[in-house]
Amino acid sequence: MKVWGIRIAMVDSKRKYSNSDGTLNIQSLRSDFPVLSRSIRGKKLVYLDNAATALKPLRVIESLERYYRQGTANIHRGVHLLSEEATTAYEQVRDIVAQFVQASDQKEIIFTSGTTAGINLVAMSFVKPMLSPGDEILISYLEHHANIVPWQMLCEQTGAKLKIMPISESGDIDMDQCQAMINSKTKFMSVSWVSNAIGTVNPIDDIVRLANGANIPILVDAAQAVAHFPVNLQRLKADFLVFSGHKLFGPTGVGVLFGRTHHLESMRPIFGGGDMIKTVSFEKTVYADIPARFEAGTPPIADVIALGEAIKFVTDDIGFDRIAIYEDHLLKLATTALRAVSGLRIIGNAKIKVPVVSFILDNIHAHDIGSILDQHGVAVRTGHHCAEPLLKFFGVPATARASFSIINDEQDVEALVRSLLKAKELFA
Amino acid sequence: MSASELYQRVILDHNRNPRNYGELTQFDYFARGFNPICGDRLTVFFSVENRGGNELQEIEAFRSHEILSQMRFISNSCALCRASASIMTEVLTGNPIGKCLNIFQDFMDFIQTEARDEVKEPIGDLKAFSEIYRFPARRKCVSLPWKTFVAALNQHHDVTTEESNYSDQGKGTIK
Repeated sequence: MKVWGIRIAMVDSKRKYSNSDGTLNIQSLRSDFPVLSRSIRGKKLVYLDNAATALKPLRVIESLERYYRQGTANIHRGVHLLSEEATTAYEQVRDIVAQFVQASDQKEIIFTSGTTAGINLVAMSFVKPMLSPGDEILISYLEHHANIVPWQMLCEQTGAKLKIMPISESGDIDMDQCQAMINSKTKFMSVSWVSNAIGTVNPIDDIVRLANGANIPILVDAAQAVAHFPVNLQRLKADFLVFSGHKLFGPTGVGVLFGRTHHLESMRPIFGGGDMIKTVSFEKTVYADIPARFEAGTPPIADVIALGEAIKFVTDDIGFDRIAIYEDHLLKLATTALRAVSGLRIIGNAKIKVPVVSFILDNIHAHDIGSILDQHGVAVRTGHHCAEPLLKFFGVPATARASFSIINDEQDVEALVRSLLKAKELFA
Repeated sequence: MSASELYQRVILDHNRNPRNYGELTQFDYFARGFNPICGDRLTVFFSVENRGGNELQEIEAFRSHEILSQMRFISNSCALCRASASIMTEVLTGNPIGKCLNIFQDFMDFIQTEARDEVKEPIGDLKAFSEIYRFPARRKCVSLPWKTFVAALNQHHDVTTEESNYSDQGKGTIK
């Protein structure tokens, strides 16, 4: 099966949240998200801000609680039982993540505080030492500020230049121009797999192949990808890949940096401290091997363990095959319903999209839309979505963004449209 | 609480038909305001009678003689920001600068203070913003025109909602 241009294996074993025919039972899945039973300003919560952060299922919440209630301990240093348990649980997640992205070795998985931290670590530790004045770093027009600002800061420090791959009116990367921008000065590429602001799924295989062919290391920002489709780093030959736990139904404050072994081994750590050393004397410190070298200090232990549960929730309890089918259905439903609202313009109509619909309404500013929808219990994101240059490209200061996920049902689409009509009525 | 309490009729009217909208070709003060959180932009222009000197250090001394005689604005913004700017031009025009600053301060208290019995009822159509204090995320939309007005008085031509004061212009930018 192919959805969003990505081949997804069908799994037919009996899974959680199933109807008798094996299809996803959305209501039973929704019942595992306690927040969904909360009423917002007296209305049923319609959560359409999944791209900002995903809600958390019981499996994740209970894992966090279990760590604090039954097993709080630091890792990698205690000989007592609690510490051993915590260390085992923490390191098991490294294995779970390695399988999740199909890394060949779990030492290629570094736990970070999130996507932003991962990008900054690569920028400072891997890219900065190789830059000379006049060198170029290539990103795309679709980037989140987290994949713009670290590179700008690096350029400011080194005299390198930031180059931007152009996009078309539909919001697709122009691959021909992208190819033409690569030259002998290009030292690094950093590209998002999926646009947070408008939902474009980039042809990441082609982009990575282009980088590989020119021998330019490339980082893939997968923050908006991992909740929607599987990552296979055996096939996708990215040098680095980053994502956050909280967009994947996991806790905030934890993320993952994947790096190829030979790169990670060549990199100097940015943060020094406990847990990242072999030996320390006042004369000399010998760093630990990877991945510990990049995990100085006490990590977010409970959150890493809960991230493991979040990944199992996605891969085992639901399955990417069912996510793909269902989210594609929601995207089509929402796009059709929103197009029928007069005066509404969808920003970003890329060929392949995740269920994210960014839009503007005639005569009503996005911020006002957001406030009015909130009064009806509908949570959407409004503003520039940390992608100011992209919105400038489309000539709009702000959009409203409805981002759907596996937790939404068809009634959520109806509620969105109904409250948009109310907003139009108020502003008529 | 419903959407119509936040967006009272008066606000919707000022948004649809903003008063004193447009550029002033001759003016004594101007500033551009920007809310980086939501992208709202506006420019405020105004003229005064009995204008004092131009030197910044003398402004405090001269301000007491100045009377705001004409004010206009342009904006690309949400309804709350535009209505706030429109009403601001109405309530400030004709007042000495000192009084304008009092109106500004009272209104900032009015939109921020949770203890409602401690706030003064504002003048004119400003009352329509009586529910904004419940919406912290939207207060900046309402305060932006006013902060832009104060920035203009202090001869700062660019201000954002994210600055705590107006004296650190230009710092913290990446070129």
